Amino acid sequence: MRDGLAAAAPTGTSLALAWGVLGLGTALVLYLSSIQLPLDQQLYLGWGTLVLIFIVKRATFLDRETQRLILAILCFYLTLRYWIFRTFDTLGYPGLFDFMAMLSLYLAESYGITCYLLGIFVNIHPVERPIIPIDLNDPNLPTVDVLIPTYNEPELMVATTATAAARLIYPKHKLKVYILDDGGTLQKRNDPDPSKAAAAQTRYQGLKDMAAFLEINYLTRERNLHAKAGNVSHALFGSCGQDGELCYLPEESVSPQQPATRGDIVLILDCDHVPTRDILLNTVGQFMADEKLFLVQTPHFFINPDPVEKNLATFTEKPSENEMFYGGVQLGLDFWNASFFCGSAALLRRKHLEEIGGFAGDTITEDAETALTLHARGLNSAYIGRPMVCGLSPETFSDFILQRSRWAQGMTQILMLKNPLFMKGLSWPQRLCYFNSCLFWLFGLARVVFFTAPLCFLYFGLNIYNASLTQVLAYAVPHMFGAIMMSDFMFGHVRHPFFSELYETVQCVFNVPALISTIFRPRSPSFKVTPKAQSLEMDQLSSLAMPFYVMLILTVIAYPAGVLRVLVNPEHLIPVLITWFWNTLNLVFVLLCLGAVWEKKQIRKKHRMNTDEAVEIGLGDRRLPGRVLDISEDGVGLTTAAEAAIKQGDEITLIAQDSYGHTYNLPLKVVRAVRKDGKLSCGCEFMGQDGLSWIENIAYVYGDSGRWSNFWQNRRRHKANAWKGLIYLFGKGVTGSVDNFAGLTRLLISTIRKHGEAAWLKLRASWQV
Amino acid sequence: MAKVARVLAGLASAWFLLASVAPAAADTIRLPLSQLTPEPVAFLRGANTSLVLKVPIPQRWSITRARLQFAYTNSTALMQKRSRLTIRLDGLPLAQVDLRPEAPEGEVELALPATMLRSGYRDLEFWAAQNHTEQCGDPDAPELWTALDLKRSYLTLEYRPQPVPLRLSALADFVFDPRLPAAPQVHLALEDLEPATMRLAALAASGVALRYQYRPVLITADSQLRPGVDNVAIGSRAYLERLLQPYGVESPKLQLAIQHLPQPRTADRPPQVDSANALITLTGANPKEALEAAVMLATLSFPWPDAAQSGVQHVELPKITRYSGRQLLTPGEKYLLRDLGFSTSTRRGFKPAGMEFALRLPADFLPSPTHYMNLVLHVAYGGGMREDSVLNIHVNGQYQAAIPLSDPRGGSFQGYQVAIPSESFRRGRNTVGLTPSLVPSRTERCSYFNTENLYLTLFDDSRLEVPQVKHWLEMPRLDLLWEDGFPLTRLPDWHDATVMLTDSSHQSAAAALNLVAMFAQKTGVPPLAIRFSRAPGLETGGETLVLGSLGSLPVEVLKAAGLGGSLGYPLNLEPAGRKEELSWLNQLRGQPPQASPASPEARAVTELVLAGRRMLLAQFQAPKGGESSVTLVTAGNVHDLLSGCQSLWEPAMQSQIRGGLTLVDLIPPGYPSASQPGKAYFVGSLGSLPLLDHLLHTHPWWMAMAMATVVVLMALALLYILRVRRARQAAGESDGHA
Repeated sequence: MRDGLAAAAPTGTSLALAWGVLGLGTALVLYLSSIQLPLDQQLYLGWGTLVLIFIVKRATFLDRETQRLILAILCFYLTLRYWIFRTFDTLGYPGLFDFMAMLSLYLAESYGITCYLLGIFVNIHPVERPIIPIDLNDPNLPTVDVLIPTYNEPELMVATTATAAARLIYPKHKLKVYILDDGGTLQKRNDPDPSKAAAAQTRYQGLKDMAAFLEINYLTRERNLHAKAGNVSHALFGSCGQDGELCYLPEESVSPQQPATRGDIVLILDCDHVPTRDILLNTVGQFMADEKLFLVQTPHFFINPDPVEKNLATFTEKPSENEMFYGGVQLGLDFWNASFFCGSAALLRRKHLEEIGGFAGDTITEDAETALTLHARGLNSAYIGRPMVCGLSPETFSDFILQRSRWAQGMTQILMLKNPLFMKGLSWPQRLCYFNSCLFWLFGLARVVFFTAPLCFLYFGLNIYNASLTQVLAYAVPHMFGAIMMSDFMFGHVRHPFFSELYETVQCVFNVPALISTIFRPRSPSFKVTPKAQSLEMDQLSSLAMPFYVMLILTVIAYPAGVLRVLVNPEHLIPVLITWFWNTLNLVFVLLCLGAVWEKKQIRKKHRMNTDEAVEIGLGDRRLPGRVLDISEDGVGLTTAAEAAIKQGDEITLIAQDSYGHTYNLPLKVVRAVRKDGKLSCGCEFMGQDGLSWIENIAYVYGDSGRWSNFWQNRRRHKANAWKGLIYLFGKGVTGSVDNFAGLTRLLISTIRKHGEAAWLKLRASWQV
Repeated sequence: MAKVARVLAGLASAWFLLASVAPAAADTIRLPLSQLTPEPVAFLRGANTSLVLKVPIPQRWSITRARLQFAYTNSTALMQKRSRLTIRLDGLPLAQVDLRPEAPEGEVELALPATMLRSGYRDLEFWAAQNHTEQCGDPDAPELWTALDLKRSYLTLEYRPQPVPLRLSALADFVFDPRLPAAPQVHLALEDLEPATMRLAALAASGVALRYQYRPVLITADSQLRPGVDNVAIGSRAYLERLLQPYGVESPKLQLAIQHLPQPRTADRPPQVDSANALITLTGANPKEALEAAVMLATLSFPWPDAAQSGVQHVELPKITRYSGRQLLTPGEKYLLRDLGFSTSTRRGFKPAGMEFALRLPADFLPSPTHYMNLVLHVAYGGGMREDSVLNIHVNGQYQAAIPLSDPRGGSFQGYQVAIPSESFRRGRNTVGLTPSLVPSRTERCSYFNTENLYLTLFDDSRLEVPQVKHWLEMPRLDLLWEDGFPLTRLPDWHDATVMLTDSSHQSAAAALNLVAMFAQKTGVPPLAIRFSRAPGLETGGETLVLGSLGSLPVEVLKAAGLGGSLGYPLNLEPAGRKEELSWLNQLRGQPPQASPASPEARAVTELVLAGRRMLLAQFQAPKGGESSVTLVTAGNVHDLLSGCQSLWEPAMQSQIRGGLTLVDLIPPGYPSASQPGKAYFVGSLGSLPLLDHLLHTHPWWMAMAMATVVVLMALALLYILRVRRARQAAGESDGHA
């Protein structure tokens, strides 16, 4: 009993009683969901239930778990009533095109309701799994291999991750770090293009030298087979020299007939995922406590904003898009023993991987597929919610779309090829969890329908939703408000209201073709690496922007189309008003998309993170109290008392301690010093340029997971209700789209001027001739 | 079609009033024309217009003399030379009246040829040709009008009653003739008031009412014959012999027989008969035979023989299901219009009359805004019409949709679908109107209008598709009794209904027979399975109709009906707002405010009933609960009870009955009344668990609280299960529930 949830030992009778109550109650709720009421009574019921939800949500005398369950039952009831009404009362055949539009909307809504209800199920009892401490002197500690697969990422990025990995807190003799370099394979080094071959050779040599310096291992292979999964599998199971593949190991101890790596546990890190020093300290204990545990997944924490966050400037104000998954959903999945492998920042037990012959490879999301396969064998997984790697999000909108389309395709492949809902070996909750995880990625199809549905009515008068205003008020509105309140309760701390809709709208145009292709040809998608650490030297329009301009035109023209519809058919006033409201929501998201595709320049070499930590500043012999306010690989931002005699150009020492008591003495050079409001703010660069200093700097910057946790917690304090959330997004949408159009105008003017000047010069030259 | 239907509908409400219109002399009737049409004043508008009144002439009458008297007012803009009012009877012009602008008001009296007034419905037409200029003018000019004051217009008929043919087949068209202008009276001579006899009487009364179609029939009953009206004698052969023996008439041998009504025999003259009235005898060697004869009398489709007597060997009836009956539509079914009484109709000309068909929906029909009645029409229309010609569709007078007849070459629609929201229909009787608006292709002033090409035909194989909606209703709803006898006739043959008579008077029995006959007329189905009871308590299951004087009502009924309350008296004699208006006027005139004489005082319901000339109707949930109702009809004494039930034939009286309890003063024509909603209960089902439905609808707040408790209990149970699961996970156990 790690969390002390069930202090009292359950008896068979009490458990049976609880099941009985639940069964009877469920039957009653299902029945009451199905009965048809006169509209006035349904109005009372729907809005009365909403009031009840509101009260329960604010009932401080109830603990959060009880609140969650009561809310879940009430929302389930509201939604089920709505769906039954929607199914049996609103469908019909008014004509072929009307029917198609009506059915599409119904299916999209049903999809959304299914995901919503599955989401409630998955998150019914999220687990904040406690960390099991380990004794570093315990002789039974498992051996750990840290695998850092890389393909074409910058060598410095790999070096940063490898350096941090080399400093992990774990017995040295039980830890081995491997750089798995697919960018320096024999195939790459013998590329027919001499420049590519030379680049691969340089990379190969550089990383090998760096590994030697860090006293870690460098591993590559002969050919680039099966992308990242092939790379890792090769490290885990490939024999040196077997099947014509080659190993390049600095350690002579590895014989040609043995696998390259042999650790009991494997920590897999993407090469841009810099681990904190305590990652093994916080995770290995889970494996020692549960022999059947095959996976410990930890969150992916990103130091930089994704393109949407960056271009709309929400990164420091609102939780990141992935925080809902790592700060909410994975906790829910963990309760059902369905937390799955996300490709990095995860530890897997080698023995279990061996049982299934290595990583699964039928899909391009081999990580989730592997977890699914192992779960189906009755093995367990765990999720530790503390961020212990620091990674990089894609920098450009197109890279972001590339990454998300891959995920969508991969999860759709799992849905089509593995069908987790009926997969043998999984428990029913696991089936539902995996089904939900896969189903979610079909959102693009539904989102396109939600966007086009009001347009179908406003432009063509298609009967998309056969219900009166009173019915909408009695059934649909309570369901929607209930869903918003439930989502807010479950995920309000990790997801700003309507951010899901924003991200879905941003992606839908691009992932729908990929989804359709995958649904019909599930084996066709191929793995595409997401580029990282891209730079943008100037503001520019994403090459993927065009669909959003079309969407903008369609949504804007829909308003006069509605006016025309009312003039021709005055009885359509109410439907037009409803669809206008709906269209306005779509317009807000389109404006946000336009803001998101106007890419802000990104020339900073290293990303800076805001923090607030107490440190000491060594100035000669004196030590001054100070605080670190931001931090990056290049340096830190400090603040201290205004009286401190520090000026630009001074050399000072940063004396800091991490959560584990390790003290860092880092020499800094002050590059900027400003006195303001009784404080001295200094911008400082790390001075040590040698390898050892760099290692120390990396350990300080990336080593402490407490810093990332604090960052998350600070950002989660900016919680807003749905209405304020919508207003916030609307403001961001207006700002973003104004930036977009202003940028476009500038671009147009500069292009005209450039071409005009060229033409003028040409003309003048011809005159002179 | 529409005009005919309107006329018939007007007749339905008119005939009862005629009962109070005493004939001017023996064999003479003075018929106000306002009783032949719903409107008291008829406007004849336009250059060429007419009003057709259907004058009913029954077979029993031989008209000897007829006079028409009418009052009119014409527009002063009319040009006398070109304006005429022509009176036509069955198309034959009988008289012409100049419409003179200098004498715009007039009264006309003319004799109608009695020979033309044969039995049937005769068309009495007021045809106006109106012009206001010598030149061609606008045929629709607003100043072209003449108004007929139908309240001041009369048709006086002198007639000689015809002897009743002594053949049973005459029952269908001669004896029980719906064309009788006065409300017919039928007397039932009953052997006793035992349940078995009452069942025969109910069948006979219903049979008579069904023959009279939509007409009120004043039914009386006792153990003797009544002179001057048609009689139906019901009982054993021995009873009939006893009944007829004083008249010196032999009892018929067979189960069903017709003869002239015998006159009381006196010592100084031989046995006499009243050949103008019939005596129908209904008997049998045993109860089964008598019942078969009663069923035969009650069944409309039964072929009557051309003989004075008939035996009945075997009667086989179609199965009667719930929600069946005349023009009653069942949710989820499709109906051809011909099954609803509509015949293929063609309309022709510039402003053709509309077409109409009626339908009934079950009283517990629960409409929904998303369920639609689908009207699938087969229509053909003529060529050469203007493109804005349309066929307008109305439901209960409300416009719903139009079918464009826009092809100048003419055309036809096979299966033109019009979806009408089910909410546009009401429980009970509905009318669907189809009104063509046919416009000639040329409408320029002073040019020739070709209206001969303006055709529209609606075929009777068009159909109406009824959506599948639920049966559910909040009760009590006394008003629904007058739609189709709901809830007593939910099974229209009264299969699940019992009539309980609480006293042994013939008046109470006759009161019950009036109601049963009335409901049979509404549903079109005789009460084949009706039961009568004299049990002192509400022991029987199903629907119950309780009749009797207030003093005879069992305590259990009084208690269940909740008659312990009070009502304001006087009842609603004055229209609402009238008193306030007078008070305001008086103040302006400087007169002191006067206490309203009609200020109601709260008085005990039972006290008001006992005070006489009042009738009380109540409806409440059967004491056993469930969906069964008890409908109570009572009065201070049995005479008031019978008088009240007879007056219930009248629409004005029916409109006063509503809610769960209504007290009505038996003062025609207004019938002041006071109503209370009554304690709510529900019939029908919105789901499949009746007990739960019942609780849900009868105690919604308790159910809401119970549900909230269930939700909390579920949450706690779920929390417990989840915690146990988590603990097991933590302990490393495999979870069997996962």
